[in-house]
Amino acid sequence: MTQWTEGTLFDNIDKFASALGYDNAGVILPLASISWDSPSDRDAFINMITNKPAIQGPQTDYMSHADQKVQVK
Amino acid sequence: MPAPQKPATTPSLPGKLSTRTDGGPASKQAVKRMTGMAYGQNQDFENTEASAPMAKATPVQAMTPSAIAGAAAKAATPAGPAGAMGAGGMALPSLTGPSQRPNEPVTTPAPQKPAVDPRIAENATLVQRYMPDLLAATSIPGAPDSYRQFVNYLARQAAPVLNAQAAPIQ
Repeated sequence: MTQWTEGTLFDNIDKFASALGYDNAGVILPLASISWDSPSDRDAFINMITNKPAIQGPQTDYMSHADQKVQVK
Repeated sequence: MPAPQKPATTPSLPGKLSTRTDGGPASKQAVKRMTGMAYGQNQDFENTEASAPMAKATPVQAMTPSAIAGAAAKAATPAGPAGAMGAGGMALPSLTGPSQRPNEPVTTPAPQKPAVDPRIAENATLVQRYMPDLLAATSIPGAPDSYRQFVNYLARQAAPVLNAQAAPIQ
């Protein structure tokens, strides 16, 4: 099995989910499906719409960040 | 002013026993004079009004306190033998009856229905379509925890909706 690669569909999903919040899967998946020229272009877009820099690269210490996004109703 | 039709022939007695000396109430309303007109210009109006006199006003009978109390008690009871029924089979309150929420200010807003987040159903649809691929990606070496958490969150959120859709229709 291949390694987790930056700029793939699932990486895009991860970045948009972390930036936009888990509740917005209806927006996350279409945005992640866009054929971005590069991860930096994608991150620039995330930075533009959220006014926050995207989390760079695969990380395994997302827990604290993701907990802030999850708003379980 | 028309002349009295039935002039009294006996002296009037005081108070309740008095009799009118102007012939009683007229069958038509008297001509009312308009004010503020220049001298001599009111005659045309009086002639016009006198040509079509208005019928006398119906005298208003004052209600006694007991009659008022009786009317209030009647209004407090449901209308009709079975009472007015609403759409849900509940008796409709009377407009003039006592408040059913006496301790609630009139400015209190209506209770809001619990809002249903439309994104939950939308996420459930996406999960149903893409979950196998999303789950498979969680096992990719190096997959970040945030991605796994996102997939778990989708599955947890969509599970009730998917279970409801899968339940057999009664």
